[in-house]
Amino acid sequence: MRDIRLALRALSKSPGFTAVAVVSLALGIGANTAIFSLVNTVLLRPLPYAEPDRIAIIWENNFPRHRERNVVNPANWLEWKGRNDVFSDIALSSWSALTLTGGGAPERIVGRAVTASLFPVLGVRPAIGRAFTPAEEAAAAVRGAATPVILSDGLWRRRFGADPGILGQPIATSDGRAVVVGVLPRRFRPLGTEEYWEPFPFTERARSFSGRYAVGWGRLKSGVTFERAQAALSTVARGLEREHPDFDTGWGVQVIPLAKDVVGSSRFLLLILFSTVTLVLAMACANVASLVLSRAAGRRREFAIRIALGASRARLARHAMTETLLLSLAGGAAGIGVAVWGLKVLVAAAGDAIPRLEEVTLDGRTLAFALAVSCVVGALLGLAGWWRRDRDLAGELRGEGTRSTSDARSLHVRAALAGVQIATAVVLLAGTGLLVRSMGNLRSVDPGIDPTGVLTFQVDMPPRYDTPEKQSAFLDQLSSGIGSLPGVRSVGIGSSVPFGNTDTATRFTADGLPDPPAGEEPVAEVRRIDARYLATLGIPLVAGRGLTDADRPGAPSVVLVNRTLARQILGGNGVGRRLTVRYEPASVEIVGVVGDVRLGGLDADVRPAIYYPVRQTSSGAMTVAVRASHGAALLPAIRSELRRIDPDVPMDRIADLDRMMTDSLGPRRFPMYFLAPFSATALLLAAVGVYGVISLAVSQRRREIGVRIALGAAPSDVLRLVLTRAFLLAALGAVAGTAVALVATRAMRTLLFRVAPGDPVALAAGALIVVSIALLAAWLPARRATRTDPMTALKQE
Amino acid sequence: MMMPGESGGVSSVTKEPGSRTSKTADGSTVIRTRNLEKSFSTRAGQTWVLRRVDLQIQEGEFVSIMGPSGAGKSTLLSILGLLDQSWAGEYELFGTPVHTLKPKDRIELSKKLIGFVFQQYHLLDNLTVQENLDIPLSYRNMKGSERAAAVADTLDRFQIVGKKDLFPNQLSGGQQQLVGVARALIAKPKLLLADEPTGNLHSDQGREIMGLFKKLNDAGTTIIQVTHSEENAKYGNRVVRLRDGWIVDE
Repeated sequence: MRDIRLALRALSKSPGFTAVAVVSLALGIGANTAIFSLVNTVLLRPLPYAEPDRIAIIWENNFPRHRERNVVNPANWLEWKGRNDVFSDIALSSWSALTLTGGGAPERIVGRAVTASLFPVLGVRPAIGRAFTPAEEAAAAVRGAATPVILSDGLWRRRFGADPGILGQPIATSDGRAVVVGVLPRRFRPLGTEEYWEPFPFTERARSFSGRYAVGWGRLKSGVTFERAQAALSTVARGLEREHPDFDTGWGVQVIPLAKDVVGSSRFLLLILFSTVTLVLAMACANVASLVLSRAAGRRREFAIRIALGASRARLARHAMTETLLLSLAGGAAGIGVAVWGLKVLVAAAGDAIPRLEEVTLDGRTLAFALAVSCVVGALLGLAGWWRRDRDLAGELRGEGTRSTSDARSLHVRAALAGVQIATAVVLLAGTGLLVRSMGNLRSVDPGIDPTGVLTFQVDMPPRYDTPEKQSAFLDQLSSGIGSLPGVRSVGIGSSVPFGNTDTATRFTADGLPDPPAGEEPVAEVRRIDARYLATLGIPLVAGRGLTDADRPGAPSVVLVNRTLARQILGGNGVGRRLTVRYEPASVEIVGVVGDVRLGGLDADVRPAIYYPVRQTSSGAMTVAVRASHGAALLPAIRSELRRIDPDVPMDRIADLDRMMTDSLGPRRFPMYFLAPFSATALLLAAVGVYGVISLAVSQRRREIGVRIALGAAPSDVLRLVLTRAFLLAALGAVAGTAVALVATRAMRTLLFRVAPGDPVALAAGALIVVSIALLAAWLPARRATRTDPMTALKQE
Repeated sequence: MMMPGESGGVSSVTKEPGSRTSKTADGSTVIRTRNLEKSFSTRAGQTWVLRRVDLQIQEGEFVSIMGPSGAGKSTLLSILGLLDQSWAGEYELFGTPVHTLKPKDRIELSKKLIGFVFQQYHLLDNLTVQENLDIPLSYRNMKGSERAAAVADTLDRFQIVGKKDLFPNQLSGGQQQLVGVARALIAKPKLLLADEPTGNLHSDQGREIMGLFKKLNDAGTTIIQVTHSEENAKYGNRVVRLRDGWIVDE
């Protein structure tokens, strides 16, 4: 306690040193704590399921088509289920939605259609009510049967006021068939964003070897490894390839630990983030160590006295460490505040780039991490100060310590620290530069559409729109109703819009082409659009004609294809050729070729695409695109129009297409947004380090500079003398940093778009910026040196 | 002027650390050196600071080491006070052969036997008078209550109770050196070493400190001081003169 009291007193007498040290450490420790909190949540904390390390997610894969994790075919899944001995339970899920009506505007709720076995696989039981029964699962395939649903705790509370009496009751939905049978516990983590679950309908089509649109889940039997499960299902998959070559050739099975699947590529991103903040902390520590070294130089006399009075080495170390530990603990405490704030910013900025963000908290483990980092930093800084104690005890006590030697040594150590800081700043800036160039490349990509001024939203037609004619009539009404609103230039309707939710892709064959071997058929994205979709989104017609309102049921089946399909598959524009897609038995005629659109995002390759007329193939959920001068201002009018046409149709996923395009870059933008401020911090810390070293060098060479000025040196000569030293230091650090960046940036390869990790522009820019800032930082002490009064300097010596 | 009530009396030859007590040292010998030498290397060759110093000091003596600047006085005092570890020759302190001890054991020996008074006082600026007095005791692993009692007793003996909460920069030079002497004596050393103890004081303050030394010596404390002042040397009972590292006169 005495040491602590005395250390506090000493620190309070140096408020400048204390403030700079605490703020530096708070930033460094805070950033580390915030990122560790993410690492802890995403990588270290088990998933909130029973024995989560036994849960597998099961995908199909097709390596020739670069599909490493593909959704699965339910018929294949049934075979896996029947032929494996590695899972105690195996489950299947696909996506579903329902529209809640009654009590205000209809609300579209996202859900999952799941086999009854999903809940045992995840090890969860409803908090109230029950799970699905086998009978309910079997009944799900029967059209018109009541649909048992299980609600999430959130939906139950938000929409139904946590009413336990809801069990067994039908709820108001657009199809009027949903009956609540259970509510899951509050702590249950959904598979995605779903808020309810219904039984998976094993219809006749689901049992056929056609279409992949579900996800498999499994709980390993006790003692079974993932490798063994993978081997077992791979054997089954090979059998299926032989049995169903037309459908399964080239397709295998991928059994992945659920935790690994959830983490995905964010593991790599988190490691990059953690490495970055660790570097920043190291730089902050280097600056504080530099300050501590200066302070220790001033305390040599004190340490000498203490030794003369009987202090042991251990006691001296304790003295030195008490002070630095207090500093680092204060920095750590403030750092937790920084972490709380930083986490909010990080979570808001990360978007979809990092999973499990909703679970992020500063828990005990994170606080223990902050404490441990603070203690380690404090101890290391203390050792730095203790190491600087004077070895010439008697000389120091006589006031004739080897000051010049010690000062030179101190300068060398501080110069080395500043050099390392410069190198680190170059590495971080080079990394940021690569990401900036990558984003620049992405922004220059032609999306194939003109997204400016386009408002989009989704409508989900209730089951009573059960024929293409009824659906077309509704969509026509909606299109003309919105189109008549003032300011609206065009209204287009399609199954989806670019950068939005994914649509389907399927194999196809074209007349006139030789039949490809099984498993090597070309694959195309399939979209359904109306006559005004192309014009509304600004997609150019390249050849042939567009779709018209005459392309309706009963008319010849026609499609448009994109330029990539026409060129890659058909060897020309293809107008007049006929296509047959996998799940439609009849062939269709290509009547037009349209421009390529990057449907999957700006960084995605353009794939072959087929556009069907919506009037011939529409379904319940459609996306409406409105090009207008002030789309957002029109929303109330659009809602009103939709309500007028059918009050039971919900309107959701309202978005600005331009914004959707920007948001689609989120996962790529996040690392840049993250790295940029830390690079700036690193640059600042490096500048402070250079400033400190050059200031010290100038003060140590004060006599020499005085002599030079007395002998006729002009201010520019002195300036050159000092800045040359700063330049050499900065250049050495920059060269070292560039060399490290050349290797380190290779780890960023997956984050980059059309720019190589060792991009010379990014590396050179990083080095140039750091050297410039370092010279700027050295300018102040250099200017001071030019004002040295030679007489004063010489007298002081 | 204060009047110390007691001093660290010497009752017997120390046997610690270990059992390396020299059989050649008799019970009243405090210091015995043989061929004690110190030098350092330069480009020009070996530069000698101390040459073949043979010195014997008995219990109860008040010895003044004198000589011109650069004669090696302070260096000799530092070696005798175990602050300087790099020297050659033999040195026995209260019969313990220092030259055979490891640095750690030398520090332990120093803590048990020696108190040091410096020309520049060397009080710790961030500590109050009371805390400065407590420092040597804290390094000797005494219990807090015992330390508090010893500090209170010393404050009282040196009549500086009223100054106990002041910091060094709030004291005059004489007062600071008084605290320095009190600090040197608080752990009851058997040998008090003083390096130019009045060098930074004006004459009245210097006389007060020397009077205090005289009283301490009269009470039994062995004292060795380095001084340039013939007047200060008169307070002692023996003068050792150094020149160019050699003892030239005793």
